[in-house]
Amino acid sequence: MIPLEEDVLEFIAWVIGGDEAVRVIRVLGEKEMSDEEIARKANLKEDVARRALYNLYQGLLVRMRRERDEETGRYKFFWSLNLDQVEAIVRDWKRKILKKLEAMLEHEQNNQFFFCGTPGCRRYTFDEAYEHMFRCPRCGRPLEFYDNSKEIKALKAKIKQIKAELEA
Amino acid sequence: MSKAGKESLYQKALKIIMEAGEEGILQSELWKLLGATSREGSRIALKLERRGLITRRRELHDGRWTYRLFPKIRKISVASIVGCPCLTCPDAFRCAPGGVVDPVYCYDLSRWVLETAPIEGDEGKE
Repeated sequence: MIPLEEDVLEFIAWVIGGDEAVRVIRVLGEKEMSDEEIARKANLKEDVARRALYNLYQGLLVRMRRERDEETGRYKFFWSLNLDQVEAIVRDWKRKILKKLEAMLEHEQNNQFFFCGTPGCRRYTFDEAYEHMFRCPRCGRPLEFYDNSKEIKALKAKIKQIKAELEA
Repeated sequence: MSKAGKESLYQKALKIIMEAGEEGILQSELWKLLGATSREGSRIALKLERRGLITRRRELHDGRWTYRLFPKIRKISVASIVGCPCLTCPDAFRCAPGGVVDPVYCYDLSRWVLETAPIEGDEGKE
């Protein structure tokens, strides 16, 4: 049984290992399973399932135990969900994104921006625009002052939202 | 009871215990809320504890020993980071403010912020 945050688990699995990892997570429970069994239940090729499991293991979302087969001398691997780490993984992602957003906000607040208005072209800071003689180096149109209050407002709201989730 | 029915009972039980939060909930109250028998209720609680999802603490209630159940997991929300391009970006490992790849110039990240930020008066947009 996967607890309440099934969609959260699937989201984490998808980020770590893509669609195959989601299929693996759906069949995996607290009970240990061999990779052959997981591949069969998830309807995946064994090598694909193993790769997904390895990615999930590296992402700390699954646990692994190996046992030597007495007859063949080969290792057999057993996998189970590692729910203890879910919270830590999500918190780590949130903290990293938050750090980037805070840097973006600082950049937006400390600079004036100039934009040509062409979709696909980027905005330039005053220094950059000055360097290019206030002409867009990509499309050649004149660079005009750009009001970034919308970006600042959005960044503040996003930072607030992530912080609220981190503190919850 | 079918396997799927049992699973949904576990889900319901876990939900009730998680909602009870730090105060916890008495096992006897849980099975009444679930509409299950006391035997089923204690089996569910035991199984949830074995799965590491809750803890049980013995408590004397109305002269009888019972268990108070506490959640071990918290509801984790990913609402604020769903769709964030950083999570699947191939440059994520070298992206840092002032680094080789600088997030302040990331078009995808700023577009994601503009599209998903819960700006006041625009809450339903997300």
